[in-house]
Amino acid sequence: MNPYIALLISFALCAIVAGIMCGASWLLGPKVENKAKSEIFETGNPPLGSIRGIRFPVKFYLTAILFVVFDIEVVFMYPWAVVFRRLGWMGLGEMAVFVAVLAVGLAYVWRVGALEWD
Amino acid sequence: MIEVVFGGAELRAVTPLLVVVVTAMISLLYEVFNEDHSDPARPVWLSLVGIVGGIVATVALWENGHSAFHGTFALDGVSAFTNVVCLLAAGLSLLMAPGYLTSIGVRAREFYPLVLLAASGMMVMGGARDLIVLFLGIEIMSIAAYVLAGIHRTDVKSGEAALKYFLLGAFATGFLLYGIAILYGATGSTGYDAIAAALPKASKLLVLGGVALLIVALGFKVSAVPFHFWAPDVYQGAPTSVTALMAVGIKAAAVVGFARLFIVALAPLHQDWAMVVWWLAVLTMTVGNVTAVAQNNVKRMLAYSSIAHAGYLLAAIVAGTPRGGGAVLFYLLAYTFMNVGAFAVVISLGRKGEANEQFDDYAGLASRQPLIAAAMVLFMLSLTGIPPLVGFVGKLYLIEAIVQAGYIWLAVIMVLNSAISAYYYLRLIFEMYMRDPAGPASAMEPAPLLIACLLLATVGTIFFGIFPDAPLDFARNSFLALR
Repeated sequence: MNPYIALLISFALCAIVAGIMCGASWLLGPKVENKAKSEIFETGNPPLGSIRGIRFPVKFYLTAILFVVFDIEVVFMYPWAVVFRRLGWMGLGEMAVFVAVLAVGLAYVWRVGALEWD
Repeated sequence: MIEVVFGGAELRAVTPLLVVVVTAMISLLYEVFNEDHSDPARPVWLSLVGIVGGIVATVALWENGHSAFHGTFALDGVSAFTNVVCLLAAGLSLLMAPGYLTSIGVRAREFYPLVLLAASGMMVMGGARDLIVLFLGIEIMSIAAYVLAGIHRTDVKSGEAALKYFLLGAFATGFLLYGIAILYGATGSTGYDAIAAALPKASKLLVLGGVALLIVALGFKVSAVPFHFWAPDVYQGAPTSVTALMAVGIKAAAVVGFARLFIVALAPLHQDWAMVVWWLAVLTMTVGNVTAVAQNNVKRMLAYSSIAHAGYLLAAIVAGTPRGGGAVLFYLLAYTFMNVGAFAVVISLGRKGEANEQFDDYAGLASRQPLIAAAMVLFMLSLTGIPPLVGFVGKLYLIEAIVQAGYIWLAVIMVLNSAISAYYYLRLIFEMYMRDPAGPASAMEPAPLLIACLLLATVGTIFFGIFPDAPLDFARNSFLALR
C-alpha cells in the first residue's frame, strides 16, 4: 500500500473536522438579528455592502492564544508518548517538569482573569 | 538513538539556571496570589534571592573544560563569567525598578519574574556550545524582553518600542535559523566542536553563506551597524529600568554568544570572517559615536553610546584570540557597572509625569543634587575611558588584544572614536556643573533601593578600575581553556 495514503487520510480528516466545526457553529449558534448588528462596521464610515463569512467576537483572540499555548503542550506529548518506554524514568521526570511549568502558567492565566469571558 | 543523559555534569550545568527559573516561577505565583500590594519593594527581595542564588551556584559549580548534554551546554569559565555579568545586570535593574515603576504608573506584577526569565535566557546563551542551544537561549531571553519593553502599557512610546523590537527581533530570528540550517547542511552538525572539525572539508560557499546569515542575526542582537535601527527607538521608548537591562545584560549575552561561536566554532575560518566583522566593528563604533553627538535626549544618547560600545566589543572579537575574548568578557563587566549606573541616574531625575531626560534638564544638577551629579560624572568619565576608572582598564585591554593580533588600524580607529565619545559624555558634565538650573529646583529623595543600585555601580566602577587583575585573569584563562 502506498505510504502516502495515510497523509491523504489525514488531509481528509482535517477538512472534515474543520467543516464540522464551522458548519456546527453556523447551524447551532444563536442568531439575534437587529439593525445595528447586521450593519457592517467599517472604521466609522457608512457600510458599503455586505460581507460573507463568519464573524467572531474579539474576545476570541485571548481564547485562541491560550488555546495555541496549551495545544502545543499536547502536541509535544505525542512524540514523547511514542518513545516513552525507551526514555524511562528520566523521560517521565522531564515531562513532569514540563507540565509543572505549564501548570504555573495556567495558574497565572487563571488568577489574572484571562479565563473569564465577561 | 540519542540517550537521555542526566548525570552529575548535567545537574551541575543547569543548577544556576534552575535557581533563577524556579525563583521566577515562585515570584510569578506570589505576585498573582498575593492580594496585598502595599509595599512595591517586596517582590524585589524575592527576585533578588534568585539573582544572588544564581550567582552563588555559578561560583560554586563552574569548572573549566566542563561540558554537559552531549557537549551542547557548559558551565565553564566563560559561561560562569557571563552568568555573573548578566545576573548583576538583572539584579541592578531590579533594584532601580520599584520606585521608578510606581512613579510612571506601571503596576504590572509580571515585571520581576520576566526579568529573571530574561536573565535565564542570557545564561543559556553564555553556556551554549551548540547552535540550537544558542537559538534557544536567544529566544528565551528575547520573548521576555519583548514583553518587558512594552510593560508600560498606557504609554504609546513603550508600545512602539515593544512592537519594533518584536518585529525586527522575529525577523532576525529567521536569519539565525536559516544560517544554522545552512551551516548544518555544510558541516553535518550544530555542535561547535564538530563544526570546527568539519569546516576544512565543508563546501566553502555554503559555509560562508551560513556565517553571513549568523552575522546578520547576531549583529541585530548586539545592535551593530547597519542592523542597529531598532536600538535608539526601543531604548528610548522602553521603561528605563528595562533599557538598562537591554543595554547591558542582553548585549553581554549576545556578545558572548557571538564570541564563543566565532572564536571557537568558526576559528578555522578566521581569515574569512575577520574582514566582515572588522567593517562591522568600525561602522558600529563610528556611526554610534557620531550620532550620539547630535542627541539632546540623554536616554537616546546612551542608546547610541551603547551602539558604539558594541563596536568596541566587536573589534576585540575580530582579533579572534583568547586574549581578545578575555578582554571582551572583562569589558562587559566594566560596562555593566558604568552603564547601569548612568541609567540609574537617569531614573533618579524622573518625576511623576515628567521624565526629565533632556540635556537641559541636567543643567545645574550639581547644585541641586551634588551626590547624584558626582556619581554621573564618574560614570561618564568611565564610559569615556579615563583612568583610574574601570572603563579605562577595559578599553586598554581591548586595544591591547587588537594590537597584539595585528589589527593596528582597528586600534587607531577605536582610539579616535573614544575621542569623539568624550564630546558628548563631557557635555553632560558641562551641563551639570557649568550651567545654571533652568527650572525650579525640585528636591526629591531617590528610593532607598535606587541608592543601593547607584552605590553598587559606583563601587564597581572605581574598585575594578583600580584592581582589575582578578576578573581579568579569570576571563583570559577561561577563554584560553576553551581551546
